[in-house]
Amino acid sequence: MSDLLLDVNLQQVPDDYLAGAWRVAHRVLNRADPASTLAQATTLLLGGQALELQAPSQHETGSWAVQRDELLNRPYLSLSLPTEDLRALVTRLRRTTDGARAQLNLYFSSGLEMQLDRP
Amino acid sequence: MDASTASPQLPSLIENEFQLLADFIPQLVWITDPTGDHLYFNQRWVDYTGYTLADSVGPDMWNNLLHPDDRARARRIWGHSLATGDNYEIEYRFKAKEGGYRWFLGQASPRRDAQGAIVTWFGTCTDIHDQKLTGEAMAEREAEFTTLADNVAQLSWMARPDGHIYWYNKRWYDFTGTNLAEMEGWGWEQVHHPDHIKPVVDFVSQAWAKGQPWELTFPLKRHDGEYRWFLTRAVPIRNEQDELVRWLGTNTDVTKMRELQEQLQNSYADLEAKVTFRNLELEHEVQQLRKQLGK
Repeated sequence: MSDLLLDVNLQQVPDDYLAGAWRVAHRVLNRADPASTLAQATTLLLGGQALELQAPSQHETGSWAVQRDELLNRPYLSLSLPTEDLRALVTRLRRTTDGARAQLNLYFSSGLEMQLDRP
Repeated sequence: MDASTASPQLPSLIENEFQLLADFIPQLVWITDPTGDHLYFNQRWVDYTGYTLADSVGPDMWNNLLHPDDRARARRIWGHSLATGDNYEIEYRFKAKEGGYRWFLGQASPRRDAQGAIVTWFGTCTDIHDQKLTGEAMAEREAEFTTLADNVAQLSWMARPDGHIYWYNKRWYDFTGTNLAEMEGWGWEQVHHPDHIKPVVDFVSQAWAKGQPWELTFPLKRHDGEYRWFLTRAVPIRNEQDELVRWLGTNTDVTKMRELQEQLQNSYADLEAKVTFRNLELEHEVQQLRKQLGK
């Protein structure tokens, strides 16, 4: 049973559920620039406040924070990178009861959608 | 009756009465000696078969009268009775003199002398053709019903008016991994989810008493322990007096449909959130532009 991924209520999700080393499992670019570091990223490291984007031939660091707006019934991430500031809506978060495994879906304002897995 | 007071004509009177009785009763009547050779047939026998006592000598009558599929069995059972003195009983088909076969119930008992030796066998053949065909038709209908009930996509069951379930189809047993002994009556509670059973029991307790069709959706435990959601429909069956005689129920697996429904609802919620998010982004950009213009 501990291996089952269960949906987390996004209206009550603690910020630290969103932190960690996330591997990009799946992405849909839509209108996003395919050459950008984010579009090519294979890993997103969300530390205390530090953000690290890892792509095959690129690497960017910055900061991140969890934001909430009363109009949205779910949190969004504010990502600050040297070249740009981005916001990503958390559309889904699933995790095992012990938190050992998790799956995070993000929707960027560019239309880019990402499914991230941890570990 | 005291023999000393009996009329001298009594033996012949009794014989006549017996003859009349034997010809009057609706059965075919026959008497054999201890070896099985026929001594007597009543008129109904002769009328039905067309065979008289004189025709019954040798094996021809048996071979000609009995249906070919019944001959060996009849000889075996009759042979057993002749050898052991056990009562004789068999269902077999006799050919009518007009042609065609009818089913009869053949029965015979031995009459014994003071020493217990068999003197004669007294036998009757009762026409059971219509009952037999009715029974066969019913058995065929039952077989057809079982085939249908076991092969429909749903789990099915039947219950008494008070809800005591006395029959499930094969799919129910295959799905739950149970048997009738475990499930009869209220055994279905064993395959319900502990978190969902109370409202189900509360609901059906009232539904049985109301006697109206009802529907309810709840999870049932599969043989491997996984729960799946089922839409249950129950229909009351009434007799000509409008009395409730039984319930017919089906359980349809709606797990996939529920998952799709949930996905659809999630997609709508996601879409709504994305639109709101994009609007907030636009608002944010507008504010940025205003700031820049203000500078």
